[in-house]
Amino acid sequence: MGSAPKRQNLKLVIGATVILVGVGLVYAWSANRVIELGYEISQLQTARREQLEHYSKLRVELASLRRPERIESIATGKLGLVKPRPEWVVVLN
Amino acid sequence: MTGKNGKKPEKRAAGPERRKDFFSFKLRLIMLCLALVSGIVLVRAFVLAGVESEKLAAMARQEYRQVVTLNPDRGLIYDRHGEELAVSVQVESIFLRPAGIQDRAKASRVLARVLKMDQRAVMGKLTSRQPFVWLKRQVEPEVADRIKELDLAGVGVIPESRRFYPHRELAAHVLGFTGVDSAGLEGLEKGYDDILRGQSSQYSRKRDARGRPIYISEEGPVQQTKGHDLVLTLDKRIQYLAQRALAQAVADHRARSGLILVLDPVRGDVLALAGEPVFNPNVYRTSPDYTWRNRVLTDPFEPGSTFKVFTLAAALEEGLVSPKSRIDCENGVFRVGRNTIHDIHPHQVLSVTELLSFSSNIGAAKIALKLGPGRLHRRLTAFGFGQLTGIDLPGESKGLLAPPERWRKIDTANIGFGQGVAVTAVQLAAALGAVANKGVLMRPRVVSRIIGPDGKTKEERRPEAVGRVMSAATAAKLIKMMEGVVTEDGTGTQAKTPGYRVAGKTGTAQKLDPATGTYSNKKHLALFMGLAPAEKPALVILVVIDEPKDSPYGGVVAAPVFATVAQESLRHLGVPPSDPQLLVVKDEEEPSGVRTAGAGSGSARSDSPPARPDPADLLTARRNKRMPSLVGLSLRQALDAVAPLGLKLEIEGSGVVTWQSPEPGRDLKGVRSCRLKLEAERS
Repeated sequence: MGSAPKRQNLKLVIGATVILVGVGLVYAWSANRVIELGYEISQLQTARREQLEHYSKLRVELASLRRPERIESIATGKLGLVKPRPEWVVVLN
Repeated sequence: MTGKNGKKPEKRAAGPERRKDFFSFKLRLIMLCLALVSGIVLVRAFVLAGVESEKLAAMARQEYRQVVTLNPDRGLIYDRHGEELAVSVQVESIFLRPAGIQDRAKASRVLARVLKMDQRAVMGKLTSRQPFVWLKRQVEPEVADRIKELDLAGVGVIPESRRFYPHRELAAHVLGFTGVDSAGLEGLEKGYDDILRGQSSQYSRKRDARGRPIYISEEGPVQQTKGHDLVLTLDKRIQYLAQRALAQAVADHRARSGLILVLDPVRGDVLALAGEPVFNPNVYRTSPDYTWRNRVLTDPFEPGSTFKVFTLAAALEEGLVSPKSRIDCENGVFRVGRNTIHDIHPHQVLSVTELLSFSSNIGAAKIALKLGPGRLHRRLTAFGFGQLTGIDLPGESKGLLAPPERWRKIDTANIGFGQGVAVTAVQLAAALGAVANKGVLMRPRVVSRIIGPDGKTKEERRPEAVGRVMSAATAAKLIKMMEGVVTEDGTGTQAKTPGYRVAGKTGTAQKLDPATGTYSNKKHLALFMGLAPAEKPALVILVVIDEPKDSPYGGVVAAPVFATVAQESLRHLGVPPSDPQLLVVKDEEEPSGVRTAGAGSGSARSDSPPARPDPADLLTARRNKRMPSLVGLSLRQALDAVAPLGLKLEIEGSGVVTWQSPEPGRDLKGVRSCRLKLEAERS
């Protein structure tokens, strides 16, 4: 009479423990995953910032390379081009 | 269970009872202790979780949270075609927390070596009582990396935004510059500081035991507040042309300084604005501070003879004179009360048009006297003299135009030819802009659009008309008269611009000697202001050269600058020539070999034209008003041949002409247009 309910209680305790441990594991796993993803996002943010910075530096370099003074000096010095005389220019409407 | 004698069992029973009582007592004691401890724990827990929870939570957050400050990105500045004129880049700065530095002697030695600083200066900062000290700002990336590698306690690296002007001196006086804290100090950077400067923002993020950031989405960074971008009316190309021509003129004439302003008269857009000497805003501290000032706005000067245009405008508008009215120029000497006015070249009687061409002071003075102080002052004020133009740049001066009540007779006469009045370059150019814009004065402007951090236009600035200052008919008459200054025997013939009709006025103003309070015979301002093309002005250009050494005359010193800038700017803007006849290549002018792109060695190959039209045939065709044969010609050759015939061209393809309509030899009476088909030349 007494051993059956005891076994029943034991099963309940074991079951509850398993569930609790399971829930705990899932929680721990998800918390760990959140932290891992947090690291990844943080790294990606840093990489994005670096890329944006790189882009901005390239843009500055491009703007520097497009200086009229520099282009004129290459055109006239290196490439031997000359300024067109007024009569050489034809404006097409 | 009881003993036989009855005592022993009692004795036996008393021992266990006592033990039991003792045990019970100990148990109670332990329980009491436990209860006491538990009570203490509970009270402590209550204190920690309830009373001190906020304070402790904050302490904990300090350990695992990191507050990150986002430096705002200053807005960019673009020219009218979207070319970047001012940008921001991230650089790194070195800071100290002196309290956290352990071995100061070693730290000062290492830091001084890496940062190339004086060790004593470094030590001075290391021993500062301030909690935070800048050690060196905006260092090179390699230097910042070295500092990071050293990993010294109390020494850190922080990113900062730094302004960079990729075109260096180009438009430096318009753009201005920012200080080390990214605050605008001059030019647009100062005038639009609130708009360009973003707002710094902070956010906190979690970090692990090693200090590595852990991103948690709910606590992620807030949107960074970037400044607004400015789109200017400046044209980078015209700015370059103007700046180069001005620098050349100042150097050639060994002048003290120079100014140039190029305006679109219809919209009031400033296309170029420059002063010489100029500075590089990236390293502005290397130039003397007087070079930083935008003298186009800040420094008034006597406009000299250029002012005659506005005296004449007033007189024409009041109906007092016409371009053909005759004025006695008194053979070069004219007495006004006790004062005498002279002309450099004496003249007898001149028409008003000739008066302007020959720049007679006496003629202008007589017209000013005819107008009288009230009318002249009212008209000049309408042109914007003596008041701010309202240009959107800081530091503008009003110039000086005294109230008419204070004008003596000689003052009225002098103001008529630009003495006793002070104007800024922007006032003068804007006033000429009104002449070019059919009598409507436009407010000069530099910023055309403000773009928000989201990339959308926040403010579109429309051209603003200040008001009509004269009728369109008067403006047209004035332009016609000013054309005479540049052509014929005028004072500004060096402003002639091949292919275009231009109009303008020279000025040669004596400078006031501050020591004597009289006009100097050695120090002059040479001026030229003009507009082009005269038939439909697209540009107003003002050139001021201060104290040229070789010649004082505006027509000699400033007019050629106008011609150079007008010629190249009009070509850049695609403004068709006023007179196609001027562009027909004459055979004797045809270059024997046009230099074209060499193969990198600097050598040039001769680009001899293919089949040239027979000049005799072309001449005959032109005389007989018949269509010449154009087949086999290049586009330019065909255009040269057709230009004198006044035909409108329709062109298809590229290469050489393979088909034409009308056909060769056809009578051109009633023919208005000509169609050409071109194809690549077969070798």
